Amino acid sequence: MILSVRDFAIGFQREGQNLVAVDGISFDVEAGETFVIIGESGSGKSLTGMSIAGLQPPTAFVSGSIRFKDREMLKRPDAELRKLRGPEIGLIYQDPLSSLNPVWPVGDQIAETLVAHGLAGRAEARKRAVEMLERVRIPDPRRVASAYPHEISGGMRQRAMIAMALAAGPSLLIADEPTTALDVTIKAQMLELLAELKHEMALTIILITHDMGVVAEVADRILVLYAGRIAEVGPADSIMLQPSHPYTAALMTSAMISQTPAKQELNAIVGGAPGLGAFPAGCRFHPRCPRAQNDCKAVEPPRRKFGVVELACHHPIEAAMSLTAARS
Amino acid sequence: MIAFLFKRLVWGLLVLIAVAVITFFLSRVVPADPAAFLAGQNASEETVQRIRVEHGLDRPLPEQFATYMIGLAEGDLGESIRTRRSVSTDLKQYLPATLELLIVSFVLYLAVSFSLAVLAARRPGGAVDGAIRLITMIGTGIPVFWLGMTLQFFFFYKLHWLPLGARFPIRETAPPVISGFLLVDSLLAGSLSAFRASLKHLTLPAATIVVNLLAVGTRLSRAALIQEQSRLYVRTARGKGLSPNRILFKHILRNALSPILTATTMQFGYMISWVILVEVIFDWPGIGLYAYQSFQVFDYSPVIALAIVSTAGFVIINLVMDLLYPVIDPRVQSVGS
Ligand SMILES: Nc1ncnc2c1ncn2[C@@H]1O[C@H](COP(=O)(O)OP(=O)(O)OP(=O)(O)O)[C@@H](O)[C@H]1O
Ligand code: SF4
Ligand SMILES: [Mg+2]
Repeated sequence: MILSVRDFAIGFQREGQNLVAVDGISFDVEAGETFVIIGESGSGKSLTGMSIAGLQPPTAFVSGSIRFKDREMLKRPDAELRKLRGPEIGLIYQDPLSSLNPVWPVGDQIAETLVAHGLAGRAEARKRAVEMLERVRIPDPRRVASAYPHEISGGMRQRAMIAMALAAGPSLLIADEPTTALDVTIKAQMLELLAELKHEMALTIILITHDMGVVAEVADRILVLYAGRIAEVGPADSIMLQPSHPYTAALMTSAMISQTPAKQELNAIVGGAPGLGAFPAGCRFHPRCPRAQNDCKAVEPPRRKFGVVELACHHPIEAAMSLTAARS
Repeated sequence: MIAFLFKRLVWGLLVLIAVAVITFFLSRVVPADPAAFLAGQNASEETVQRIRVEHGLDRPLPEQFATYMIGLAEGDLGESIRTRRSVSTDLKQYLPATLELLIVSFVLYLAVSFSLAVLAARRPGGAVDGAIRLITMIGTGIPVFWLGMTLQFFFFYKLHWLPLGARFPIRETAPPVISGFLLVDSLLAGSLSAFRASLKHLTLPAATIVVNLLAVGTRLSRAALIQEQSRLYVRTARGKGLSPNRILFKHILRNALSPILTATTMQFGYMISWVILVEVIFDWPGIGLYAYQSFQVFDYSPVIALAIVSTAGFVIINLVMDLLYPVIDPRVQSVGS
């Protein structure tokens, strides 16, 4: 086990009120797996992902525990967390163009990770930057290394971001919607690349996404977040093919029915996800849940084991009927 | 690139001509007679007339204008009635003093406003930010002449730390003129004491200019820094495990430079106009004081020359800044496009 999250909560103070965005979630990530976090916009995916690297917003309050390789991340001073970012944890993001520094050549930005951590001298770091670009299958690594971010294509930029995140040899890669800004073919190439790199570099990947297509492609295990709580967590096959939680089932069905872009798929479920500070009592999904009953409105469902998955639902769908139930 | 430079130069030239024309006619509508002024109160009508003829002031206005513009085209800025020398000769003598004050003020202004902005941007809305804002606002709120005189009062009359005015102690011999910049010339002459003396004389005038511009400068730099801090590449830099200082100096500053440069160019325009006032307050023998003294006796040519020279300065600064943008920001391909 490389990562262990326990009762992790994060929130913000707004107008004297404590607004809890992620409300006591627990999960483990095994070394070498691709762990996917899915959920609608605002469900707390990015906050969770960033907090693992100690990059939660400075205005946020946090509680619980995030242990990465037996180090507690939440109470660690930033100076120590910095030593882990790069050599232990790499991060990539949705928008590679604005995520790269516009006034630095790409190669220098990759090399900087090595230099800043004292892993290589300037010249050596530059050489390794070109090697990294080659490693992420960039055909002309030398040219790209000396190019500025705006001079290369979107797909190249995301590859360069990956090269940068992996340059210092981390064991964990946190990818926050890395394919959302890319078109379909590039997206497929990127997923393939991640899968290969994961193998070559013995990576553990935490992938945050909206995109069910991406999930199906790469996930070993899936965590479904809804309004800052865990709806369901378990092996990818079981969650994708036989969802037990009504919310997951709704996600999968809408993904199957509509071939529309990922973002809309998730939001195709009737109604919208509740905003921060407006989470309903009982089960947070109950206003939108086709299976909701009276107990759902009053009592928050506890997390429990259900077959091979763990979920929080009073009336989960039995395996045999899961998809039909969701459609009705 | 060449085409762009050419276009900008032509444009700059047009601006200069316009300024020359406007200041020429403005100076002529002033209902005063410089010849009479110069001849003195007891001068006979003949003397006054002679001076008029000597300087072409008896000619009809269009002819005076034509003569002046033709002279300008040949680089002749006219003659000063007061100093009885050509304005170009006078400028050669006074311009270095102004440039020295301007450059020192500008460098000081950049350094101080930038440092304050960095401090303020660390925690926007915090106590440091508030204090900096308050202090710089007070500095700007004080009228320049009052500020200059207050500084003189404390540092000269009360503390005897700094001289009242001028560029160099009257009783000492200045280093031989090589560049015209006393700081440079005193070093070239190998005289540290002369260097120190020049620096002391520069301090109050430069401080007056800087204090006056600080609020705007700091605010603009601060805004640029804060805006850059929220950019996504900063998140990436944190994700790479860089220290806050490295992120600030290697990433944010470089990106904040373009907006700061734009603001600075505008500030430089203000600085040129404040320099004139400050020269008068501190008896600084530059072109501002020269033009001011000429203006008092309705000696036109130096005044017009000052307008032209300061406009030219502004045009050049703008051009330099435009050329700098692509160097600072690789996304700016060519300034011409
Ligand atoms: N710095 C912040 N200050 C206040 N609220 C925040 C901050 N960052 C996030 N939030 C709130 O926390 C909630 C969860 O945000 P988060 O970014 O984790 O969502 P997400 O699941 O990643 O959504 P998306 O799919 O849109 O990226 C949102 O309601 C968001 O508005
Ligand atoms: S607890 Fe009730 S409302 Fe919530 S998901 Fe389960 S069935 Fe639906
Ligand atoms: Mg997000």
